[in-house]
Amino acid sequence: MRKIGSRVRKIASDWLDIPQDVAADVPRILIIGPYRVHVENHHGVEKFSDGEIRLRTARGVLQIAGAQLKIQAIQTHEIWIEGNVSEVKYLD
Amino acid sequence: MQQNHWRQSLKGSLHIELQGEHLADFINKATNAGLDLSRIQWLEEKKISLTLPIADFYRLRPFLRSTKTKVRIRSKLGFPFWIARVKKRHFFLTGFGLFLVIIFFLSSLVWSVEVEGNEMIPTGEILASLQEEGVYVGQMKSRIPDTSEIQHRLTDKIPRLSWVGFRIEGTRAILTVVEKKRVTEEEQTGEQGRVNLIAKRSGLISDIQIERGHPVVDVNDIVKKGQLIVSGRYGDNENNSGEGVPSADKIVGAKGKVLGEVWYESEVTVPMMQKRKVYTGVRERATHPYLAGRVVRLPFFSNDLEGEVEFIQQIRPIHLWKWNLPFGWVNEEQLAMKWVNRKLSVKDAIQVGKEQARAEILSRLGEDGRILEEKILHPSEQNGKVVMKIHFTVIENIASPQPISQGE
Repeated sequence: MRKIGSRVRKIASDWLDIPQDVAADVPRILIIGPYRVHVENHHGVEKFSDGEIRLRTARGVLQIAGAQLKIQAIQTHEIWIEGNVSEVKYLD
Repeated sequence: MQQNHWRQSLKGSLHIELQGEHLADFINKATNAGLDLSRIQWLEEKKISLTLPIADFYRLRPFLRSTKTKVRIRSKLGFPFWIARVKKRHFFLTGFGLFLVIIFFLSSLVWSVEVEGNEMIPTGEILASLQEEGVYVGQMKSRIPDTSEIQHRLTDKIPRLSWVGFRIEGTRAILTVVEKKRVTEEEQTGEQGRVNLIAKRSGLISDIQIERGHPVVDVNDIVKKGQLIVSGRYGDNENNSGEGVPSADKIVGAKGKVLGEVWYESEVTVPMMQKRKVYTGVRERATHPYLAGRVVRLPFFSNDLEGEVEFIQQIRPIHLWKWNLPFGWVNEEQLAMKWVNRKLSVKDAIQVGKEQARAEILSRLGEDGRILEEKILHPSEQNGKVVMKIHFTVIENIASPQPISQGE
């Protein structure tokens, strides 16, 4: 049911020319160099450790791998991660 | 998202350590409840540390219980904790405050009163008058009346002072005075008065102005060098013994001016070639820095003039309040110049020679002297020079004091 909803929203945003991150509930990720990652529209932390952080998103689990990772700040829909980031990917 | 660090430290925050099985769960719950978590760091398995504001710490408890997390405070950061720490050492703080108050209070008192410049008037007397004006050791500086008022009142109070300057330097009150010069006894009658006046140069007496004493020569008499002109003895009149009632030993002294006509001759040589310095009009202005009395010339910025140059330097030290710093700027002006030879005619040379001789004579004559007449005697030209003799007739004070010997 949820999958169909998101697909409808994607079609609507393509058709109406609305930015996708506004229309859909998908995460918006900003990476600055190898040392900072901002994620908007996350749904909470699933796993947190030195070398790996997993975030729940509408699209699925987002994995951020690296070393000496820490959460600089966290709010309901926004998270700011610092450390040596080596990989950002969706786990299916 | 950027944290306002100073605001955080103003409100105070806690650095805490959490230990438990479901830490990620805890973070989600706390975040959803609106707690402001930051700097979350993974320490080891099932152990993290984070920072949060004090207020949020008390809202943490339900989430801790539901996720079975243990909490430990690592450090307390920020202003409120600093205040609390200072409060514990309140005794030290009061002492410090007291110290500041005492310093402030003591430095607003007058700690010494000094009088300088007095010779005759005893310092104690001036200090007593100052005390009446409210200037004394232990007085508050703010209660000392206005400087100009003190100066005015003191000059009124002590008439023997001709000038009074009052100032406060830190905790010292300094009074500078200038006493009125009193006419000394000596100047009134004094030892200097026990003199005769004699001629210091031969000449024709043209005028006699006597304040004290008895003239033995007359106007239009010719006197020789060393001759007695005015006697300082009372009743000293050898020719006219009929008046001689008072004793010859009574000495009143002589004082006065005797103007006489005197002749001077001076020989002057004036070279006919005169060398003079002339500015060409080419000039260059520049400003250089100077350091410790040494001008720093930057080689590429200053273009020096060629040839003979005269420098005019004006030093502008940088002032700091009342001190001159040992560095500053030098305004330098370069004036190009050259030497010009000028050939004088004989007539001009004589004129120049006359001016020179006249200036020389006048400087020798003193305040009463003046030149009556000048004559140029046989000017002649020799080897490019004009040699001449100039004869001056001048009026000058020829009286010179000579002590009267007491043994006679």
